[in-house]
Amino acid sequence: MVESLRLAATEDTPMIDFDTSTGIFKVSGRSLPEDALEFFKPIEEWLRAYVENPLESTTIEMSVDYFNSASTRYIFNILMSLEDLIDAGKEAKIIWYYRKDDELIQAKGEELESILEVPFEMKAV
Amino acid sequence: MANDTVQDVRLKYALYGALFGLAFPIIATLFDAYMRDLGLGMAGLIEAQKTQPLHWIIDTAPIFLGIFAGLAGIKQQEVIEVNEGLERKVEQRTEMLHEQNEELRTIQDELEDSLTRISQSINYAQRIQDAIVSNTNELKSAFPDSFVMFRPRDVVSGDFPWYLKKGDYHYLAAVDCTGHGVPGPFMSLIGYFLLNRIVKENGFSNTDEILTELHKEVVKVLNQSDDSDVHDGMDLALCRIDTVKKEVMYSGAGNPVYHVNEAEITEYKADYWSIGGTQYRKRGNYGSHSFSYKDGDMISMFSDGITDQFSADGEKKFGFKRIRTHLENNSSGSMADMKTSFESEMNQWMGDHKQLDDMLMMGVRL
Repeated sequence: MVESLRLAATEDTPMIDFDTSTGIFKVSGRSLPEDALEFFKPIEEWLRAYVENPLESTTIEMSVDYFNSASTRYIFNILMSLEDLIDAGKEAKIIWYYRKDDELIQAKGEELESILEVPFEMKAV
Repeated sequence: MANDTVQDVRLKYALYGALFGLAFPIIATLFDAYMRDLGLGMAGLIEAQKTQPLHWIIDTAPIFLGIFAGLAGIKQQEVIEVNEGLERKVEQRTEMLHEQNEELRTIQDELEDSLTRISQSINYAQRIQDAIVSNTNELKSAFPDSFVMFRPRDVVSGDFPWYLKKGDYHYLAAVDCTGHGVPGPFMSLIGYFLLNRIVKENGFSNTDEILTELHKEVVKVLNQSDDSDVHDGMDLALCRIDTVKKEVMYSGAGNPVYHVNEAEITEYKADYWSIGGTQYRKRGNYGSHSFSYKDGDMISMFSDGITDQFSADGEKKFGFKRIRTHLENNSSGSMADMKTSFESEMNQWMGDHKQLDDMLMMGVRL
């Protein structure tokens, strides 16, 4: 089993808490790093290792209220990795939190819901 | 040198103590000899010493006082040493601070120097980008009542407006490249020239085909193989305006277009897929929307730098609704007025909150 991945939030990167003891992976905050690759590459690598040897059930909880266009692509990849888990016969789910008055984050969630073949739950907070 | 002083002080104190102590036996012997009438000559003094054992005790006074004074001297010496040590430390610290000050000043100079160079370099780049952006002057001559609001976050921009006329068609796009600052403009140049080539030389004319081509070309130009770390690309709204048939064909990668006529505003939604990158293992195709228009209608396109901009209190985002409302409320006036009023609305919205992304908005009266 891969060890949990935890990164504290900064002014321009979100909090990452991928807990392999519970299978709940949280991403929250804002994502607008000047160099998106630098921030996301280690996360992608971690996920790649996790997908090789995953838990029975994995849930990604997204509560991001801003991400720039470079981050969008990496966030998509993170969510996309759940499709691999489902293909491998595991359980996976995405919970997309958005502020009631934030039509943008809501719309982005709805778009992803229609594209990704992963159980997807939209939750207004 | 310090050691010399050490001995000096201790010795001096001991010597003064002993000398002071010497006064006791001398005075005591003289006084005793005088009181007992033994005479003040040497014989009398010796007699006084011999016959009074108390003198023997008094005679030790120089020794004890010498010792005590010597001990005091040692204490005094310690105090002196501590003081000297402190003084030396203060000197060293002062010297260190001085050196650090110098270092800081050098760093500050270097930083200022770098900043000046970077600013100059970026300002230079801005002139190049402005030259390209000003190609939209052609848009002005084709559609005199139109506007481009171009507001880079950092002098230069990853957003750019694009216009090209070919045959009966006017092509118009609001493009938003990944990255801002320095990388954004690099991407914008790639996008600008690829769009020109795809439409002008390669002869693609349907907007969905242009987006498909643009994606292929960006992947090729940036060598975006599966293991590439370059995920960059662009979102855009692309319109092809046919002024003869009075028809607009639109395709979007991420960004929508708004069509405003006198009665209502219609949004045509984009496809999800951004241009460039190998980020999506399954990519959908680009679709297109066609709609006819009447003279006096307007269309508007923009980048997400506008919709995503936070309010002054950092609580809310500008969103699509404010754009729609603004377009509806101001579409009867000139496009120049619409730009001015939109800019002031955005300024008011942002207040002191920093601009998070490049902004681009275009409006064209058809």
